[in-house]
Amino acid sequence: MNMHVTTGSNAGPNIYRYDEFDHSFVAARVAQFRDQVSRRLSGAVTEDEFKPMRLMNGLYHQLHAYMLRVAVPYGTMSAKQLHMLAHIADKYDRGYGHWTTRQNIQFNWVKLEDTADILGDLASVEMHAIQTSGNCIRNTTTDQYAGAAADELADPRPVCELIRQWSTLHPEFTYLPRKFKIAVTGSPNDRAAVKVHDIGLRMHLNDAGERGWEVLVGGGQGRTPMIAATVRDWLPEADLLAYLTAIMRVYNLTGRRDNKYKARIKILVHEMGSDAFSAAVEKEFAHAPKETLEIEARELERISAYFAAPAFQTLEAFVPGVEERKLADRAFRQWVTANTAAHRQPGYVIVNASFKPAGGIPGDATSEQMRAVADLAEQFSFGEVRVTHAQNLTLPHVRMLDLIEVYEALKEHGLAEANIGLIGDIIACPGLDYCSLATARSIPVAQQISARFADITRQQDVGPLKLNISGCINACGHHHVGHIGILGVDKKGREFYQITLGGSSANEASIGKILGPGFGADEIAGAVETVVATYLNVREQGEEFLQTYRRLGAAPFKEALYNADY
Amino acid sequence: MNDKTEDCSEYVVTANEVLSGDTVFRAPGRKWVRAIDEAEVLVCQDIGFVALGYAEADMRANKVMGLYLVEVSRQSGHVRPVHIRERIRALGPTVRADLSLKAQGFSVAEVVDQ
Repeated sequence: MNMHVTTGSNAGPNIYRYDEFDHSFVAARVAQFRDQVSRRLSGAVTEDEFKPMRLMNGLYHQLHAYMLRVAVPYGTMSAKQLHMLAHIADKYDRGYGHWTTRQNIQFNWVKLEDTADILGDLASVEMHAIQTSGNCIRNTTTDQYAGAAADELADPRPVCELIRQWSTLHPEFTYLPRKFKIAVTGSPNDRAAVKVHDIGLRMHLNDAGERGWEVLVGGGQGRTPMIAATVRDWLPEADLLAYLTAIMRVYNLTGRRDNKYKARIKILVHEMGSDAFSAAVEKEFAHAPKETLEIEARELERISAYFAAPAFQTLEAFVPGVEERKLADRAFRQWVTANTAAHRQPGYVIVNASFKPAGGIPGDATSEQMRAVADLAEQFSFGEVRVTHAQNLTLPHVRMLDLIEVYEALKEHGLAEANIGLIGDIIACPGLDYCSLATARSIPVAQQISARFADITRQQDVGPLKLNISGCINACGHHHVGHIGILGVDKKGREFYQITLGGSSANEASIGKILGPGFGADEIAGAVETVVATYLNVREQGEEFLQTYRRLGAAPFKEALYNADY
Repeated sequence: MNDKTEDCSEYVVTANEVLSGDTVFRAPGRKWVRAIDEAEVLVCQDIGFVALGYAEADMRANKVMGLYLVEVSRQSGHVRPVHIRERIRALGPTVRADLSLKAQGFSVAEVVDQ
């Protein structure tokens, strides 16, 4: 979209706002899709002809119905936009939506005849469903704590927005060999999983305090999981788009198109070797017309102005009321420990709303919950909300003074389960309950496990533990990078679940390793209990699950699992 | 010819309605219904393919899309797809049976277990 935006007024949250070009572009896209739907309904175009058109507007057909995936660029949205998602859930769906691992939302039950109206409603709040499907550059993702985290070097969202504008309907990159995913982090502690993306960008500062980017290429999950290779340790920020263009050109020209399972850039990097791939990119980069792609500092500054820090107050970091409540109320103390994160501004805190109730469906949000979070964002977080890749929502800028009130409101709406980053905070794909590609159900497995570990004290004793579940080899539930990963497979018409251990999407990223034969649907939760019990038995003081696994390997877990009787 | 009582499975014709996207099944009288119990059960795959051929007229007429045959069996007076994927598709998500009219009156166990 338009690279030449104009800074709007300071009203509303500090996120990107459409200019005239953006408004007219999205409005034209809605009108175009309305005509395409009309032609489909009249029979003027067949389903085969219509499918690529609908996919370019985020409209899939899943196991039961049409599914619309709506883009939430880099997971940032306003309270007003979240209210609109609630409205869409009520008016056009069945009163709920589902947060995705790409920081988007999907609606599972929309009708074809309504889709153009939905896109029109989305456009009215500067949203759309472009780049949520197809072989294009998908929604760029980032740290859900961007612009708020205490450990961040700088807010990565201006660069995310720049990438969004550069990539949207880019004529060279609209029909890539396969879909393409970019993740960006501005923190040295990677919360954006940059090493398992087609391109990962990690911000660094040099001795002069200038920003540059480490460029990683060829990571990914799916049926061939790989960790990305660093092809550039330091890229000056001004060269970012020129360098990304060079990568995309090498991929577009040499990536395989004969076999969709070998078409992702990770296969190309693997087959060429990262050194040869890097050399090809550097050669392309050297010939690129950089004068047209060089990021002018003033352009990035202009985009950055949208993401200026909110008008924070000067506050004391220590709030006696909060500390007293923590001492008196264990549930509140546990919630603060698990569901809040350090803010860069003294007196403020990052608050996570957990959409992972014990025994519930990970990532499902009712319209009422959406409105509740939107209202909290308006009242307590400068009107801003984030979608996390772990399928939760984040209020990025909450005053410590307001923490108790926010906690009580979240609790009232079932969003204060104190389990962020713990075993109850399960990432799960929709699985066979909704997805036409799935081979086994994911959600019921997540429900069984989170119900077994419903005791928050027990979860916090177990400590940080990421458990991810996918219902097929496409790995939408990120099982490869779960500390405990579960992959559902079909074995002669019955569901079986393989366990992998040792995966991680953080700084020291790794792909989990399969432990052994799978478990039946009625056995898998018990098997996870055995894995956790084994960890508790063998861990050293202060050692997290992943550290224990890396120290001891799979042996003690295998022994416990395959000698146990389920 | 083979003995059909031994080697013939039962099938229903299924598709998705274009307008709603809903799962539908071919019923007697060339109708499309959402309840699989109301579907026309066809004995033997050959008969199924003939029925599929007739149903293609509705695909050309833009009423339905994605036609295919689903193998079924009869259990306690109900028509049930043999494979779990098709049972979930026919009866609704096992995790939100409350929202699926198709799952009304059926337990999750009936959808999952065979």
